[in-house]
Amino acid sequence: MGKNKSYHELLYSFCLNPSLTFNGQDNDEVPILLLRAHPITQIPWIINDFFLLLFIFGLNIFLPSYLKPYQIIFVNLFGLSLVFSYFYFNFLHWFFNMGIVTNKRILDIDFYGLVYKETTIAILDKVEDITAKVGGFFSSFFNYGNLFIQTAGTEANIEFINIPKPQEVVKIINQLLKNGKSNLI
Amino acid sequence: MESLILFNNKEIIFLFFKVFLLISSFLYFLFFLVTFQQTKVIIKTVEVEKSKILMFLSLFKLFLSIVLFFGAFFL
Repeated sequence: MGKNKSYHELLYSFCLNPSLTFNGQDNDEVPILLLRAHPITQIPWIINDFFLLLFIFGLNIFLPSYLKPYQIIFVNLFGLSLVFSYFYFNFLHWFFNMGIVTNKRILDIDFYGLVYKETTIAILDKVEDITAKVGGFFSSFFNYGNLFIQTAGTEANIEFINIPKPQEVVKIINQLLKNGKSNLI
Repeated sequence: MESLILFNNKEIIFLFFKVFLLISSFLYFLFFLVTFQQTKVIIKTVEVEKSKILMFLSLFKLFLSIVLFFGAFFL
């Protein structure tokens, strides 16, 4: 965890000192941590995509008896395009549902179905309690879990779901809270 | 009476097939128009290193959906 050195692991789901800018970022605000869901939690839709791809190839066994060659090409192109769309849509959903920890605040950015956006912000001073929960076989094995950040007063609480290394994230946020929020930069 | 029947079975299946592809490709085009706009909004909200690749992919998919729609039309 070197100072100012960008570091990432698990397919950019855990990035230290990431190079990113976000809407409403202050001039002196520096992103310290970027979190996404652990890649292992994305396996179900990748498997779905794989089976859809198999289905498209399987369809080619029966199509020649009903359709002309140029129609088969079109159907294949259409099918492959749909499979790729499913992949791309899920990838965007994973990629842009992120948690950002800066030297000033914690942001939780969620996109639901790409048409609904929700941004929750908690100022570091207002953070009261941080809870990391890791439960279940896969979570324990791959070291991912949920993080709940409770804030003072009426401010919204923040939840990071299925993030990798929740204990380490707790440690980093605690360190930020203790050391005047800028020790890690 | 037989002269009133304009299509045979195979032609009707093909007609349904063509209508199905036309509607699907149009919906697909609309879907990617929305996705393209939303990707722009998302990238404005959070700009990461690989944002330009995602914008390019969205644009490519939009272009592909237009090609598919016209492809279905002239099928």
